[in-house]
Amino acid sequence: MDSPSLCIWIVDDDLSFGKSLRRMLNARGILAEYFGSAQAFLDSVPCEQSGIALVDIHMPGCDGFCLMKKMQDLGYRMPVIIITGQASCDARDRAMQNGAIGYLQKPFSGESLLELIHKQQGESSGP
Amino acid sequence: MKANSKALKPRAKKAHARRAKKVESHGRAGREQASLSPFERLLVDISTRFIALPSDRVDSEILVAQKEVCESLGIDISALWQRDLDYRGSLTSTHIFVPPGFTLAPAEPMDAKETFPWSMKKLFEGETLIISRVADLPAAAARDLKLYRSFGIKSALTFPLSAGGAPVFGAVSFNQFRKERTWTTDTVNKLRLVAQVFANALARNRADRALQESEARYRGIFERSIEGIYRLSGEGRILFANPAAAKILGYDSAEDLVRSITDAGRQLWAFPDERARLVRQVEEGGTIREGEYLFKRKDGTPVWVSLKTNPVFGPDGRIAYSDGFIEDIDERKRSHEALKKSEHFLAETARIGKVGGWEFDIDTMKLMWTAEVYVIHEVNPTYEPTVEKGLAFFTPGSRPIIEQAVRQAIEQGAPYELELEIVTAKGHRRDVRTIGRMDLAHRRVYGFIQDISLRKENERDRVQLRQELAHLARVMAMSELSTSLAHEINQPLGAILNNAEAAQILLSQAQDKREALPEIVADIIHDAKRAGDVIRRVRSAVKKVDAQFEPLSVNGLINGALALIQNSLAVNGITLRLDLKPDIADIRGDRIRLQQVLLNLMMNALDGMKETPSRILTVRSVMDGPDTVTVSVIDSGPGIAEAGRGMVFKPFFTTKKEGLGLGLSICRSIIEEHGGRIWADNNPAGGATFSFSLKAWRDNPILD
Repeated sequence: MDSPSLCIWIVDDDLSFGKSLRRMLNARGILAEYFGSAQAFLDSVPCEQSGIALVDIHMPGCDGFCLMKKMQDLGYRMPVIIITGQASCDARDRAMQNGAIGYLQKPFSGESLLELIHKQQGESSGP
Repeated sequence: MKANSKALKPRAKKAHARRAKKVESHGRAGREQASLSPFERLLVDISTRFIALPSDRVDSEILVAQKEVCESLGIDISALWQRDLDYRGSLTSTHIFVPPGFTLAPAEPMDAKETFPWSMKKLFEGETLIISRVADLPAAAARDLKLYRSFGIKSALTFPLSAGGAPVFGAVSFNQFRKERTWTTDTVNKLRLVAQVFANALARNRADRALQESEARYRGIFERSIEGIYRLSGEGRILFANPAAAKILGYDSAEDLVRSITDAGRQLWAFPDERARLVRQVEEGGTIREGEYLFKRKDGTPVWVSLKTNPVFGPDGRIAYSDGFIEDIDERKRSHEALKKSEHFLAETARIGKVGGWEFDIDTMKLMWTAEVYVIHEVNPTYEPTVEKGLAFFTPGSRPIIEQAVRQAIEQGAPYELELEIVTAKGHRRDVRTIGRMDLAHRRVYGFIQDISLRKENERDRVQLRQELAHLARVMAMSELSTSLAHEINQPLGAILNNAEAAQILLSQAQDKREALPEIVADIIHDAKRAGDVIRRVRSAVKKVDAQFEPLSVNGLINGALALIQNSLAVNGITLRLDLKPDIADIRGDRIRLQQVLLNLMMNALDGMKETPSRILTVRSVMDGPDTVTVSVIDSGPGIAEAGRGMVFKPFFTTKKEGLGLGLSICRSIIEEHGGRIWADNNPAGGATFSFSLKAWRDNPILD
């Protein structure tokens, strides 16, 4: 079973998607919180908070990349997985260059997300 | 008769005095004369006097001799006739003796050729006419007889005048009118001697005069000649020249030319080597006597001359002197050159324009083609065109058309201009423009034929390119849209997948944990519908390709287009302002294409605002007059650079790095296809406005 201390922070302007993702993770027993914009996330989650951020690229105002930059600037230490509805190698490369630990194209299965999460956990709490 | 009897007397006195003096000075001759008869002495005296007589005294001396002879032999009249030097061949009397107290009528000049035709004919054949009784003249001499009688002449002795075997130039006659006289052989022989003395003296005089006259004549020809004539010494000095030569060569006068030229090759020839070569060729026996050369005028300007030379060789075989005959052919040369140039120019024009001319003579049925027509039909230059053969080149589709046009041109004089197809002799299909005109005045039909294959091909290519571009633009618009559409579809799909997975997990868990299921299923249904809507919108944007005109609400079109770019607006942080008037009349058009125009204008506006802090997109619809609907897409970007204002609707004009520059040109095609117009402006407050206007449906009959 997954560590109860793990929390997934979802940042996506699409309410329907954000809600469904939180629901899917909750059903798997993973804590997840959903925010409709970058600002809402930054306002609610302190930078020392652990967990993993799932960040959508396309958002009005401050988009996914903008949020990653702000998180780095503000000293957030949690890893970021980029999720997007658009298939673009460009966006993927940019995500990885900006320090994202993963890139998922919507729609994605819970399995592929968990795989990334577990991989990340294994690396951070490894031997 | 030219004779004037009054003038005779004083001259005769003078001559007597002179004779007396002469006899004294020729003492020896005087002594010999003692044994002679008085007339024989007179004959010797006359002969002596005429020896070395200056020519200006011949005439007066003849008159004296005539008087002396007549008085000595008891002859009434002596008349001397001469053929005029002017080649009219008239015979007029030049020296006459009549006894004092008599006059000869008529006094006006008379041509003996007409008055004494028989006599003169005989005389000019060299005969001496010995007529003792004029009444004995033959019937052929009736005219002569009439004249003899009118003068009252009863006997006449006439000698032809000629010297040294030369042709007869006149006659001298001795006549009796007081009484008839039988001319004795002795008298005839003696008078023949007198006639010969006169003939010799006059012949010499005539020759001198003829020479003078001919000299004057030739000088006249020489002076007045249009052809320039000059004589050149072996060293190239001009010995003499005529005024024409001076004029052609630009000298003030012939004297000026003679004075100035000391080395013709260097001074007259533009290329002295050319003269040296000519001289060499002539001296080596070449026969070049005529040619066209470039000469120099006095002022150094060039002049083309046609030169004929007539060289005279010295004993050394070199040219002693040569006569040159020059003609100014500058004008001819220039017009010839100009003609050649213009011919060449025309041929070149025909070749480049692929235009040929033809002419058909109605009477001879002959058809003439210019060179380019042969080229267009791909026949060789020996081909002989006829109307039938010419018409046979046209394709089965074109042939009836051209045949009718040609018939109407010939029968009714109707001109034609057609674009048809031919198949060349080598089997190539060609588009031609053929023009025919009737020229009634010259009974001919003429025209032009132009190979317009290339233009036609270009036209076909252009239509094809336009279609391809329109397609490409649609594809591109779709590709641009598909990125945002994919996002729109993936979003609900992702949500559905998440929800389905959540539901699956919940279903495997205890009953009490399943209370969230209905909500999850409701969300799934909602998102599935959302995805369906997106798909439908995409389908409606792609499926229709042919223009389908239907009544459309402009505001509906705007809203439809906005729905497609909703996501782009959000992503780019664009504020949308709608200014849609509710009372907009419907227009008639193709929904997809007009939507494409709107999308394109909106996407352009979005692109234009990428770099600007204030991003406001305004879409406006208004009734611009009772039957014009105008839609404007207004952005707050940098506006259109002044340099590009006129260009924005042209194909391949773009300011975008990744753009092809086709979007706006396609927009224009579409709007124009709808009978509307499209334009662009910069806003006073910044940004650009792209507008198009369309006729309201009720007033748009062209599309019905």
